[in-house]
Amino acid sequence: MRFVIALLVGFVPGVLLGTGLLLWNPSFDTEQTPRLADANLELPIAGSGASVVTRSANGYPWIPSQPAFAPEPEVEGMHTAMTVMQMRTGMPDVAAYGVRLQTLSDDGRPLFGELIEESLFYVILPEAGSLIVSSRDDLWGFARQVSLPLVQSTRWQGNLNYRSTIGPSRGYAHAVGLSGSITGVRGRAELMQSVRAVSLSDGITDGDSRVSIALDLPAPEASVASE
Amino acid sequence: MRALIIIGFLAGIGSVAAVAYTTPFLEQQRIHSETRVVPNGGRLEKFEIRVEQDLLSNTPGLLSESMLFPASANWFPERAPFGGDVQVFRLRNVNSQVVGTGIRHREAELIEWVLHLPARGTMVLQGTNGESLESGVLALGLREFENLDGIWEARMDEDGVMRFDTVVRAAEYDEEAGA
Repeated sequence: MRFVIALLVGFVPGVLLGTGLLLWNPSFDTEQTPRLADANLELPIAGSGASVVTRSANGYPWIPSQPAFAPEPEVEGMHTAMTVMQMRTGMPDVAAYGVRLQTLSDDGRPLFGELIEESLFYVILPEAGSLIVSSRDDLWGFARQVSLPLVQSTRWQGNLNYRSTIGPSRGYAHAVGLSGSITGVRGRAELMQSVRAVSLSDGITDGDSRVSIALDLPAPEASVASE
Repeated sequence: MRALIIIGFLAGIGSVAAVAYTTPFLEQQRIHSETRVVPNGGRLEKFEIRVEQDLLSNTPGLLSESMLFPASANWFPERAPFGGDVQVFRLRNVNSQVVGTGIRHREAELIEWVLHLPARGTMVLQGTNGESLESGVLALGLREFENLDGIWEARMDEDGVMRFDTVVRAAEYDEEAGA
């Protein structure tokens, strides 16, 4: 009995220390500043400048569900969230249009500070055509700094700014033009998020997100749309 | 006794590490892809959309007469950057299991489909729209569908189900272009 108690006396602090190291490991910190210096297109996708048309998040734990359709068991298993949005582009009467599909990946491991989300963003730009952005994002910083405190309280307030994009291409998302004047044009993209208030029932109530895209356009057409 | 405490302590840290390594945050549902090889060497995969039941969103553009869905959507058609419409559907395999999402952008006779299969990748299909048949080519593939060529057709059947046939194959090497 004494041996078991001795093992437990060591085991419990070991578990606590291990959990603490995992949650507060400074080497898991997310980047706070954008890397993409040559972006020629900025799209607000949440907060000011973006308007959600409709959204569905069945089975997706990070976004409160506003179901536009009856849930089905199969959809629950997919854990995919859909957001349809209109985004300010700088043109007074026209907005860019986007459909964002977000899927949590089971690749990420908590041991390495990874909470991976794969997202696909289909965008129709005024007078330019359509493009697609394929991104791999790490939401660990959000989970640690915002979701964890929400376990104790129903609201979170603070100031979290982070660059979530980690791939799929050397730390950047892929962007590819599909139609119009940007057909076949390739580029890089990144997602910057700013969160100021979160409620357990309504999700992010104060915050902004934007996708910056650097398309490899021919020199005379250096800007697709401006803020 | 001190040695046992140290062993317990190390075991505690090791247990946390083992759980954090082996346990993902969630287990995504994996559905086997229903594909078969066709005689010319391509890979055929069929998908279905039950048009009414699987519609998640319909946003009519400036020239479209289709109905907004859901009716409560916060949609400003006068600011739309397109004339046709954009719809989002659940996408099913031939066994009617939901395997992903399909986005359809229609402008007059031109059609662009984005078929997104979360665990596998994305196909962007472009083509033209006939009376009850849409057809065209694979314009872009991501992840599993990267560097593939392909063709597709989708027909609207009388039972309200849109049935897709996609055939993809490895992109042929172009000796003159060197790619």
